[in-house]
Amino acid sequence: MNAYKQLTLAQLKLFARNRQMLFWSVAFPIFLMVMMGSFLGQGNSLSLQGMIVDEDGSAASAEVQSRLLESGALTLTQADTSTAAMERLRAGDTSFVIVLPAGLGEAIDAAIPGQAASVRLYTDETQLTVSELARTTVTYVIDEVSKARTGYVPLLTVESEGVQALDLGYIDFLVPGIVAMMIMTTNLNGVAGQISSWRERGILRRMQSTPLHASSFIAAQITARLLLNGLQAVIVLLIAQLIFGTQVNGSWLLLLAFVVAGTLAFMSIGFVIAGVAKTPESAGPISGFVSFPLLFLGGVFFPIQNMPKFLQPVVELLPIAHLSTALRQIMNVGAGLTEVWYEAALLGGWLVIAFIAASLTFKWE
Amino acid sequence: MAHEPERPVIEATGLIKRYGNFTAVGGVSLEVRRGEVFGLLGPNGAGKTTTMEMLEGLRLPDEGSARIAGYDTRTELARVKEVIGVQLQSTSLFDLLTVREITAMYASFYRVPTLPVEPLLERVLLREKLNDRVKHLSGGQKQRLAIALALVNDPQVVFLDEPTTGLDPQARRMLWDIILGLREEGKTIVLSTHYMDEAEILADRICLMDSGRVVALDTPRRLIERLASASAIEFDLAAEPHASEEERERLLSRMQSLASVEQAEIRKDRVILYVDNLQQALTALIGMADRESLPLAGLQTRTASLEDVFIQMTGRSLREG
Repeated sequence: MNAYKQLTLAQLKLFARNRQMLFWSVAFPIFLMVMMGSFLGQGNSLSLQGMIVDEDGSAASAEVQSRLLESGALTLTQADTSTAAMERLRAGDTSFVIVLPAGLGEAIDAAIPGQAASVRLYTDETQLTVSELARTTVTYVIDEVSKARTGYVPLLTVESEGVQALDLGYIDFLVPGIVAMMIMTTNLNGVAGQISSWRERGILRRMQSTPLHASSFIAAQITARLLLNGLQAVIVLLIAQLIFGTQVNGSWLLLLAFVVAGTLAFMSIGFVIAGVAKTPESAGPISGFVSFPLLFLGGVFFPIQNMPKFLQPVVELLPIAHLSTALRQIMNVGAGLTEVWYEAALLGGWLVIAFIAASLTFKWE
Repeated sequence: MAHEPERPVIEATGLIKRYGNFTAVGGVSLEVRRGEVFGLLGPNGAGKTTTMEMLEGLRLPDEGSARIAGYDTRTELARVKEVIGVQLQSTSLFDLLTVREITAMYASFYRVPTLPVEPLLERVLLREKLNDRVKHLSGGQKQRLAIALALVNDPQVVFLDEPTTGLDPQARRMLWDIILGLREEGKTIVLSTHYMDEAEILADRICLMDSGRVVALDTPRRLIERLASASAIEFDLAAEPHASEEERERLLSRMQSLASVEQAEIRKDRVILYVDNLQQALTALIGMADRESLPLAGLQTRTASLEDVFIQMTGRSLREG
């Protein structure tokens, strides 16, 4: 017990005295957050950039176009021909194309019941989120125009709140991802690097020659890193709140519980890498090899839904994906444990498997 | 005062350690008595460290067994660890901790009562460095700290693996004083070194090792006395650097026939004559050199040392790999 306390204390002192490590491990996530947060726009959750083509040129089509342009949800640029606009859409330069076809004005003016005039919307169906949002918004605006024209007075209306009321932006998506990334890198890369270097330098071997148990040693490592990561996560979250006004809508306690679970899972993976790596020099590249794909596939910076379909089953199993999803759910939507139990279970599964692998591969020398 | 012959504090029988086809230690048996400084002397790669690690229980022997203070290193390792103190050949410590912190940390690893930190560090002359970080210590100070850490549990046996390697002469002497001080206190010390002067000064008994085997085991004085010759004469062969193997052999056999010369050897272009009567041999050598105008460059005489014992027993010098 005394050894555990002393080793925990020693590790915390090592953290505290390694100013550079401490600074960069907090500064890097914040830097990343500020960079990506400012570049990719704060406030706008997903910028819906599209093109509009007026092939009709009538007064009615001009009215529809101006209504669409006025709607704040869409960022529209006008195009001369639909072929040009469609090319841009296929090239991925624009997210959707609205075409007001020739004859639209006449059809509206004629107002033959049962034969509604139509506005065409082209989207890139591989971009599910964007095309869905574009469809909803365009439908809404067109519906309004149509209602105004026919003088329709609704019997029922919907007071729209919900997600909108939370006022979520990309930054709200990003910050939980960055916390997840920080937990992964400081633990996975950190543990792999430190333990293999301690082994190389004979520090572990010297400890092995004393009655110290591996369990006390590992427990102390875990405790110290949990305290460090908890602190780092809180600092990053508070700074995000200060600069970008991100919120924690769910419980801080549940959030920290996921920080703990993530720390344990990634530490165990770090121990496995330290056990497999023959030298500290190879521990770096190996942990990079493991963590780098996780960073990009695991929904840290981009939604998993945006990943290519064939990758999704793989991505679904990654520990970082579930950590970032859970953090996001708790922070953004205020999810409780009942809503994130699946993420908790998968992360827990990773923890158990990695811990068993770590204890099988751990060696003092 | 007569007393019962005490059981040796270390008993090792038939220790063998192989790595693949390479046999690092090929059957070492030895006993270490309580209170003695036991030196493992040999060149690099002789198997000193592997032997030591098998005695400490850090490495399991492929064959053979070792007991420390009666505890088997295989089956009672936890007990062994409580009664030994270890300084490894190349341990680095946490650079960012202070001397006091790291000592307290190591003390916490033991269940047996440990020594108070300050007097312990006083003993290795690190009292004034108590609050300095390990990073700022010199090589000698770090090595002294490593010894303090090996003493923290007041062990019965202290293992010191090449404690002075890489230190400057002054730091070495300081370390020798500390080790001799520990001997005064009655600690049993197992010390490995490839410096023969160190073994000669510190060790009560020396186990001479080569290629994983014990070549000889005795007190330094008796090891030297085993040599038939008490002195050695050396000079350079530089006068005939291109001498053929045959010419060298002829020269050696002529040297061998000189009065009082027991054995003649050429090592690295230097002729070494082991003699039992220095004056007689010198007179004969100089006479021969005069007659044959053989230049005796770099002529030296000295008393035979452990180095010579090693050369005579293995045909190699301690400094050779």
